[in-house]
Amino acid sequence: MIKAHELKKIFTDKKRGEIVAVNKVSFEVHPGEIFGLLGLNGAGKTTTLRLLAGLLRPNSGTCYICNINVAAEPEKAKARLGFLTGTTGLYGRLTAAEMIKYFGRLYGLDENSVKKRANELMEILSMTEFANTRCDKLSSGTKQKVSIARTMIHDPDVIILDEPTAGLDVISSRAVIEFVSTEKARSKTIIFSTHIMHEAEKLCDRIGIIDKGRIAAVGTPFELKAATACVDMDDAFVKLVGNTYE
Amino acid sequence: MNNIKIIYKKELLDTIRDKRTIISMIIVPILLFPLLTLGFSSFAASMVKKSTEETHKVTVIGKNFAPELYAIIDSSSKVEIVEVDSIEQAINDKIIRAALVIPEDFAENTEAMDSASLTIVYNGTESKSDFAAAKLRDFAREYRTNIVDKRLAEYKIDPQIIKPFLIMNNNIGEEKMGAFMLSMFLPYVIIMLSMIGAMYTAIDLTAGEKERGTLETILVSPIPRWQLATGKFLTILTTSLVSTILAISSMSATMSFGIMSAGPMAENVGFDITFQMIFVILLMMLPAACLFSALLMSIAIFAKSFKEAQSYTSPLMIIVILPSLVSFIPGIELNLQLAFVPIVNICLVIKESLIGTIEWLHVFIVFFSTSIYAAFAIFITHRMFEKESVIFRS
Repeated sequence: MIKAHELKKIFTDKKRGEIVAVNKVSFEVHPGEIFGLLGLNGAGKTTTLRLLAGLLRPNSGTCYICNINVAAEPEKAKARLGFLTGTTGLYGRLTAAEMIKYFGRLYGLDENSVKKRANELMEILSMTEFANTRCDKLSSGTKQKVSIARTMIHDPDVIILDEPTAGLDVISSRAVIEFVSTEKARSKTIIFSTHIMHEAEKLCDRIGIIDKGRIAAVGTPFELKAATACVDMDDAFVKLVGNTYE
Repeated sequence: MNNIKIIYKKELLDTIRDKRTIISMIIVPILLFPLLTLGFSSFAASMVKKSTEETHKVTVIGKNFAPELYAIIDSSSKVEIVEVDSIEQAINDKIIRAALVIPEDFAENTEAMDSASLTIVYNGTESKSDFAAAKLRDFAREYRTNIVDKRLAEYKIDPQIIKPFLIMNNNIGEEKMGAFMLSMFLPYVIIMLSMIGAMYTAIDLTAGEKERGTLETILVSPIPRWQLATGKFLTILTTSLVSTILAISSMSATMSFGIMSAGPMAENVGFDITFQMIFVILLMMLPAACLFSALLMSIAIFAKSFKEAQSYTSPLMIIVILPSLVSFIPGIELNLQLAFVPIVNICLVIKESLIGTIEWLHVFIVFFSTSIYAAFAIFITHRMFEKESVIFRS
């Protein structure tokens, strides 16, 4: 499970001074649940997820992955989670199989398990024919499949997805969505950020609306729509965050 | 340790598959020495040959005042006599290269056993004019010797009497002259290649990864950042050392297969690469390559993109290359103070080892001081990898 408690992250920018990117954000996500983090660009989605994944250290507050304090034991926490974003790249000069196996080794799997698990994942994602193709020769959809396999090589309990469908076509997006649903059924704890409303509505059990670094509202899609008296998720979102950029 | 090995193996595979790395790491160091040596010696040879064999146009003013001298010049194939209006103008316009001016009283004075004078007009800033003037000077000397011999014969004096002794040159350093010349530019070339060998990989594995989004991917894995930094550092160090070793091998091969001796400079090149030289060069280049790799890496990781990293590392390239030019300055020898100046010290030790005057205390000090600088640079690199503002700089 994921637990964020009063997470705060401040960046210092030469021109703009101190920016509070994430401000006292708290939430919990449980096994078998998909939690959606919904917000505009720059609202603090990516920073929040990077804090959870141990890529950034919070200025204050704590977060736990499977009851492991991320700031205190980042390597131990990272071993339990899979992190996938729309921008995480692949090593273009490695083949798909080499890329997946490399990460298996980094997660401490022995050589036999690496091979077994890599073949298994390539089978599930129906990408065996690309196994020995270099990543920079793959289509964006296949690349995303390699990324999914890379994320799942150690079968993590917690999956963090930062706009995983960004830049993908409909078919590839659908593959990602399908993957998320399957993992939910396997009782994984999943957090998913997006700015595509219908995607969030369709997929998420609960949604946290994030605005200017703060959680503006948390609830099921139904609860959020009811609270704002809107039929449409888009309208509910706009009502909750206001419709102006600052 | 296992993680570092996993990262190192992968980075090395990734690097070897990159054509651009292969060019800077393998092809350049192998080809540079033979091409440089061959090019340099044949260029110098052809220049010298051209200048000495070329027939220069000259003008002789007042040929009637010294007909015998004129005959010597006229009969030589080394110069061609032409007539011009204004000699200075003609030299500037390169119609002629030099001119000999014989004064009206020349024959009169020489016959009266007085001292006469000749003037050679040339332009010292032009090498062809200089060569032509030298030829005219030789003709004049030849003629002067003829006159002296004639005068001595008139007095029935043995010409040997005015040559009480001959001066013979015996330069015992002559054997080392080639080594001396090479010792000026080899340290510089080796240092440069070690730097270039590391540069491309250092940028590719840091800023290049940021640009391609793979740095974020790898940071997600449960690998402590210091291990990631170490794996990358070792890969960069490997490319730098491979470049250096290939450069030294290519240099040794160039010397021993005598590509150099094919040129006309052969007789001046008493140069043998010894085991000791190679040992000292490698001993110097090991900490130096560590230093360069770490410096390049710590600068490149700061950059957001490959291009940005290139513009940050170029000044570093100049900062490293400038002190290595010290080997070109004659008269600078390694002392206890200079032994602590980074790069200058390495350069001077390599230079000394090539000439064959090695001071082992200096070698020891330079090795340890450079190792300390390298350790410091590695420490900085690791600090950079721990900094969020550097790793996620966007």
